[in-house]
Amino acid sequence: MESTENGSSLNLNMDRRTLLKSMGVAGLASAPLLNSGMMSAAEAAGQTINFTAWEYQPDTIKSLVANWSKQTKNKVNISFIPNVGYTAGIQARQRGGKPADVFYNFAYNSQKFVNQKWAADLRGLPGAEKMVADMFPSARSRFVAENGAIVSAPYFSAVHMLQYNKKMVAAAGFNSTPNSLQETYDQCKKIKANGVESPYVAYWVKDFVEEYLHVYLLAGNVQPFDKKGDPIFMDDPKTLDVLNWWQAMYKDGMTPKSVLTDDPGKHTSSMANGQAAFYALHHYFLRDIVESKGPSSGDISQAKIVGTGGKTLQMGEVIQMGGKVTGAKKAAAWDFMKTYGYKDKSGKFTTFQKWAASGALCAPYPGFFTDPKVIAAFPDYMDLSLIKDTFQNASDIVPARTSPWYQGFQAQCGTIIHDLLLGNSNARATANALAIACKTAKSGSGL
Amino acid sequence: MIYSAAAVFVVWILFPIWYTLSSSFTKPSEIGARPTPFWPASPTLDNYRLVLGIPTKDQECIPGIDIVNCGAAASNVSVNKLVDTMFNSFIVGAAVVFFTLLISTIAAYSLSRYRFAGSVFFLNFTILSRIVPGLVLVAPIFIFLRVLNLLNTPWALIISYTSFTLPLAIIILKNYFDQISIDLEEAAALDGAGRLQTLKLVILPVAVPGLIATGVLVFLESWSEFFFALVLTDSYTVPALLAGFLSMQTFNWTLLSAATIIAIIPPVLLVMIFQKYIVTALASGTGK
Repeated sequence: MESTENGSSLNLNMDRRTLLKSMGVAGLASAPLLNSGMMSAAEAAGQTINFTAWEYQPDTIKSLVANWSKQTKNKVNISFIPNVGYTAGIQARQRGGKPADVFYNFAYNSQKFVNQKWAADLRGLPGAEKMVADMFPSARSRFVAENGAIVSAPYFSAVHMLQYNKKMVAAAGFNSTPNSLQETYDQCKKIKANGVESPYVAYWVKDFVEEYLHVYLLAGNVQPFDKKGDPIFMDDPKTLDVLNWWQAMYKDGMTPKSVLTDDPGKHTSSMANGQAAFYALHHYFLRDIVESKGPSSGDISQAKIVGTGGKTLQMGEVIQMGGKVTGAKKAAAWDFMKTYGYKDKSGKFTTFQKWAASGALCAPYPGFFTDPKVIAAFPDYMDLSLIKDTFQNASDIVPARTSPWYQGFQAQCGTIIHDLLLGNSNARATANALAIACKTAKSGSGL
Repeated sequence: MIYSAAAVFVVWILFPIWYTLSSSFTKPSEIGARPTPFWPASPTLDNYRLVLGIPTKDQECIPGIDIVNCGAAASNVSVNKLVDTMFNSFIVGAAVVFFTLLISTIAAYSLSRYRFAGSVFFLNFTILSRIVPGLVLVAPIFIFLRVLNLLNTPWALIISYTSFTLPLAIIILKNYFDQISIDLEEAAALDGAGRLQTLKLVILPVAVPGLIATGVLVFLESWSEFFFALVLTDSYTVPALLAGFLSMQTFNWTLLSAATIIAIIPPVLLVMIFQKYIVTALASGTGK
C-alpha cells in the first residue's frame, strides 16, 4: 500500500484491529478536548466552503447546508454532480485545479484520494478520533486506513437485508425465512412450484454484482480477504459452494432471466405486485416497496440474510475534506463535516435524523439507533432493532473494499460473475478468475 | 430482401423510442411488468406532470419522487427544473451555432477557394482533431475556463462546444462551397465586389441550405453533449439533468422517460423543419 502524507510509519507494524481498538480508547480519552475544537470552529466564521455532492435528494442537502450556514455564519457553495459520472466529474475538477473543500465520495475511492493528496487525513482534527470511536467497531475500518489515517466521515450507511413476502413463504410451508443459501434455493423452488415464476430478485447488474459477491461469500462463511487485503477466498472450498449456488439460482430460473440487467425500480415493482418473494438489497429498499402501495406491498417484511457465516455486507458512502484546505477554512470545513457526518454542536445526530426521515438511511453509530428522533423517523414497518443488530453483530464492511487498488478488481467482477451465471464458466474457473483479477488490480496493472 | 432489411433497420431505430414513449406513460408500479406490454394497460400523464412540476391527479405514491402523495419531506431527484434546463440548453445551442457558423464559414470558404501555405495541413489537422476524445480535452479546457473565471456559466459550454463543433462545420461547409461554381465569384469580381462582399452577397445566399444543415448538426451535438456539461457546470443543460434521474441505485425510469420525451421535442422539430436542407447539404458532392 502507498504511504500517506502524515505519519505513515506510525502504525505500520500494528495490527489493524489493535489500531482501531486503540483509536476507540484514544477517542474516548480525548472527548474533554472537544470544547477547544469547537472554539476553533467558532473562530472560523465567515468562511466560504465549496461543497460537492451527488444529486440524491438535492432539497434535503440544501436545507441541511442552510441550517449549518445559519448557525455558524459560514457560507456554503453547493455543487451537484449527477451520480452517474460523479467519479469522472469530481476527478476532472480536482485535476483542473478547482477541488471542492468538502465532497461526497464513494468509499472505494476514499483511501486513493488521500494517497493522491486530493483528500485530507483527518487525524488530529478536534473530535475526529472520537467520531471513529463512536462508530460500530464493524464500521470503523471504512473510515480508517491501514496506516491509521482517518480518511473520511460517514455520509450514510446501510446493510444488505432480505425483503420477503410473508404470505408466499408461509404458503410454501415455511415458518421462517431461509437460514442458509441452500435454504434460500429450496424455498425459492417451492414458491416457484406454487406459481411464482421468478421468486428471487436482486440487483445483479455488472456494475453492482461485486457487492453480492461479498454478501454471498459472507453468508457462506467465507472470508474474502486476509488482514493484509490479499484475496484468500479462492483457497476456501466453501467458495465453490457459494458460486455453484449462485449459478443454480439463475440457471434454474429462481430469478428472472432479465435479472442481469434489471434495476431496483423493477425489483421493487415485482415485490409490490406479488411477482417475487425475495429481494436482497440494502435495508432502505423496504421503504420503496411498501410505499409504492402495490397489491402485495403490505405483505413484505424484512429479515437478515442469514447464512452459515452469520454475516452480511455493510456498505456506505463517505464525505471527505479536500487535500488543500488549510487554516480557518479547514476548521470551518471540519465543523461542517462533523455536523454532516457525525453530530452537531449540541451532540445530536441532526443530519442523520433528516436522512432517516427522508430516505431511511442509517449512520454507523450505535447512538443513532437509540436517538428518539431517529426512532420516530423510521416507519413502523421497518424493524430498527433488527437493522441495528445487523450493523452491530451480523455485518462486515470487508475492509479491502476501500483499498486504493480495489476499484480495479471491482471493474472486472461484473464480467466474471456474469460469465458464471450465464453458464460460460464454472465455479472453479470463476474463483480463479476473481483471484487473478484481485492480484492484477493490486499490482497496479489491468484496468 | 431489401424491404426485410429496411424493416429490421426501422425496428432497430424505432424500438428505443417506442420503449421510452411507452415507459413515460407507465405507472412506476407497472414498470417491472413481465412480459413487457406493448403499451401500458392504464396509461398515465403523471410522469409528465411530475417532471413539469404540475400536481398529479393520481393518488399513487411514487417513492422518493412524489413527495405529496407519499407524505415525504423531499424528492430524490431534481424535479421542476426541466423547462429551465431546456431553455439553458437552447441558449447554449443557439450561441454555439452562431459562433460556429461565423468562424467556420470564413475558414471553409478560405480553404475552398485559396491555396495558401499550410492549407492542406490545416484541413487534414481539422479532420484529425475530430479523433481526439473529449475526455482528454476536458482537463486543459477546465483549467483555461477556471483562469477566466467562466466555470459554471453558459460561456463555459459555448466556448468548449464551439471548439469541437468547428472542425465538423468546416468540413461540411468546405465540401459545400466546393460545389458552388466559381463563375459566380468571377462575375461578382467583374462587377467590382471585394472578397468579403462576394462571400456575403453572392456565396452565402447560395449556401443557405449548407449553412442550415451545418447549424442543425451543430445544434444537435450541443444539445446532446453530456460530459463537458457534467464537468464544467452544475447540471446546466438537459443531458446532465437527465443523468440526475439515475441516483444511488434509485432508478426513476418513468420520470426519466417522460423527461427524455420532452427533451427530444426541440431537436426533433428542428430536424423535421429543416430536413430537406440537411439531406441536400449532406448529399452535396455525391454526384461529382
